[in-house]
Amino acid sequence: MQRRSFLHTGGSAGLLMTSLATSPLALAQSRTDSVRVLAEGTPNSRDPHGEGVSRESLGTFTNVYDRLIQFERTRLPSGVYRYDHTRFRGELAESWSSSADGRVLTFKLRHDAQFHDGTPVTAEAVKWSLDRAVSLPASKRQLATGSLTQPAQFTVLDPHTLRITLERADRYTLPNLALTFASVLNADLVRKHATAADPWGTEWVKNNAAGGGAYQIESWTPGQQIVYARFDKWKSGALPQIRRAVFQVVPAAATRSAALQRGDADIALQLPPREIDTLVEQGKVFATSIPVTNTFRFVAFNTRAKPFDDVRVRQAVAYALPYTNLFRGASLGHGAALFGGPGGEPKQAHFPQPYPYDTQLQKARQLLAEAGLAQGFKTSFSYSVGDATISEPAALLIQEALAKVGIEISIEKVPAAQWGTLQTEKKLPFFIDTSSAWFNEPDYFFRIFFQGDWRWNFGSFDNAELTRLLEQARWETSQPKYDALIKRAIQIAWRELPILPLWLPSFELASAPDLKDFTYYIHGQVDFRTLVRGNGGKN
Amino acid sequence: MLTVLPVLTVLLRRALQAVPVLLGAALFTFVLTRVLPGDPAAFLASGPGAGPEAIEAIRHQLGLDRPLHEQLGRYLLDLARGDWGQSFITGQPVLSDLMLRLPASLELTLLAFGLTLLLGLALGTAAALGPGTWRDHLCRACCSVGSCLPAFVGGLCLIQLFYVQLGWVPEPIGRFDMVLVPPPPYTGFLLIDTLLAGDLTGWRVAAGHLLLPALAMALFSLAPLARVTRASLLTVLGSEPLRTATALGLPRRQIVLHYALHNALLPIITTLGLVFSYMLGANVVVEKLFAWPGIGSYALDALMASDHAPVQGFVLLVAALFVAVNLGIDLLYGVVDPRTRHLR
Repeated sequence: MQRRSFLHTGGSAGLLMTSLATSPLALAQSRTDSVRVLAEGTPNSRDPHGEGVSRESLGTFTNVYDRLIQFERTRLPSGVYRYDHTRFRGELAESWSSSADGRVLTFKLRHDAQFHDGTPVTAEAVKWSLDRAVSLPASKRQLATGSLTQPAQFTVLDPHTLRITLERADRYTLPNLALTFASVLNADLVRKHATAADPWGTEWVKNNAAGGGAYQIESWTPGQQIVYARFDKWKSGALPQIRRAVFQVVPAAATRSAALQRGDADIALQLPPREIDTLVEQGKVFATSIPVTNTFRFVAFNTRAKPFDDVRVRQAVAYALPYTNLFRGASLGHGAALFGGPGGEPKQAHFPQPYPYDTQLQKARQLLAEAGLAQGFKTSFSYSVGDATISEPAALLIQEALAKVGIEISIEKVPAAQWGTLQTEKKLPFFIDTSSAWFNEPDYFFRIFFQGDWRWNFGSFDNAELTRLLEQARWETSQPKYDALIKRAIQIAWRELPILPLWLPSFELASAPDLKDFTYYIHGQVDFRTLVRGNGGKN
Repeated sequence: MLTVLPVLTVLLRRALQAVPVLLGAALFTFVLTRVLPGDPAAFLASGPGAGPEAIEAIRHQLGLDRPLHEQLGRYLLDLARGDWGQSFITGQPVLSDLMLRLPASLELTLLAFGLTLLLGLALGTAAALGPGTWRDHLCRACCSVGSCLPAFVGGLCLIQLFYVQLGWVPEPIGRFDMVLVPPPPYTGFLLIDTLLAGDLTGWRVAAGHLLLPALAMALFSLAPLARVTRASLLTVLGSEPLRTATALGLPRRQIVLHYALHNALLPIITTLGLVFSYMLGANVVVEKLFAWPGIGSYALDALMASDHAPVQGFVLLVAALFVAVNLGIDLLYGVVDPRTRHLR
């Protein structure tokens, strides 16, 4: 009997076609003061000093916490803004000054700032936050690059004045203070949840924001969505127009793109170049590419093992790569080329800049012959599956091109989980990847990517002259002298080729047409504070 | 009394039998995650500035520097205490993550399973009743398309048609409209919770969000069921008892629905068990496409990040579900075919 009625329901399959279109309620809330962001990944922490925080968390820190200072921004021709890593303005600090020798920085805090629970922001809270930052490992590692290492460096002069003392003047101190690692926490609130084993309250802060930034967290569903509500008593800037912001995790790029096209979402992050091109063609949404100067796409060689320990082999590869095809085929021309430079003495002391190599197969063959490998050789070429959108087509093009000079490569797809391990252990002979540094200054870049016994020295490079040049450049205060040192360092990188940069990718923004004043920051997340909707903009 | 007792004994015996299975699953995943080549510490310390010491410090913090047997002991002890470990990609305890996401996966799988059942049985029966007719061809076409089209492509087509072009369904993101307040989570199943809360608009929204992913899942699991139904029913329809029934002049409706389907049900139920287990584990692609907050995409993200605890938790949970499904199927056998009852 039951069985029969069960089968009978087969007739009601027609219910599928009943229209279940978007309910009008979805639009009930005013769109002019809310924004909805779709992204691939998820924030995993509310602690700006935490270990293992995801890139998306940096967006959370930016909106939920204030810092003493922040980066200034400049307007791009497309109408959006990008941060300027050389200029700063106050956030919690009303003003700041530096002593003549640059060793003492004094910050005057605004008097009206308060945390989300109403506690006033005092110099004592700022000091406690910075103490915490240089005591916990993740933030300590970064802030140390700006000579911020000891709690003793931070002194409270009065409730609204903080002094930072440095061993020597450091051009990286202010940029570091503008990063999310230097966020200011509600010290009294966190102390209540600290324990003897966990004096900085890391367990609690991970799941509870303790800030005074422009937005409060209204709801947090791990791995799914976060709802931010504006903190109406925020004083560190003009009150943002956006009252409510929703950040949702949508792993499939096609789905993010579809929701944006339909007008159900306002910003879709991390869309691959192909999706962006389609959106631009259809013209329904605003899409723009913002050049990113601190991230680069590259191939790397293991300079410690055969055959790539011979610089001529590395140069041969550099002359054999099909640059134009790679750039068009893999990145669809999005970004800025880092090949085909003029060579000789670098004109400017910035990095990365175009390397003096382009496709010249004859030269490549000649260099291989000089290295005693006229018959070519076999090796493997790896990429991370997590990066396949760009790396996979690139690997195929490289395989095809290198075969022309007798280099036979087998392509290895490495699971994303294993990628970091293999790079750290220096087990890959030849691979493609992308990486970025916090700051754009060339000596900072070089120290991360061209020296040291760590993952980021992708080519396992070790060059005594380069090390000496970088040590001098680190503390050089005269700009012409600094530039001269850097130009010599660039020439070493060009000649020795521990890694071969291909292009600078671009940050792809796709947003609703009425959303204005987006600001791009290092981390590529959304700063809700600057967004303006509709005609409310101050353009 | 006499009828209930055997069922209870069976349940109890099967529950006891499940213990070694689950223990085995726990052991297996523990070993598997330790053998996997990714190093969680190297993954975690992926910010510039993290040198060898930083990685070593994280290894120590995660307990990865201890001997393997000690790690295993700790893991089993924690499991016994109900602590499934901590995920670092979400920053939450694994058990609460899984419990939050399990209803989402189950609701989707059950609905997709229901759709598969309806469509598969209907198509298979229609085809078996008229071999070689257009209904048979329709069944064959649906099966071919369903099994050839990867779930991702099928899902994308559905999104493009019903959402982007026609606009009949709400955006294919998650389980509920982000502007609406979700119902209080009595069961975690939104279709039930909204009804309990008397929220009809909410029910419509939840159903709208469920429809496309369920359809996408039903499409790729349709083929085996429809085929088995067709084949099994054809055999039964040609058998002597059925021919006798026809000769006796019983109405065709009664012959097909009562006698034929009943006799054809055993292989169908076996296939159903397989299809359901398969759907539970294989809906990762659909979950990813529709941003569905289920356990499959959770485990996949964890796997990509060498986040061991959620992967282990996921396998353990799915093993438990499989045990439950198998038990259900076995009990169903008993209901459908009295001959199998005494076998236990």
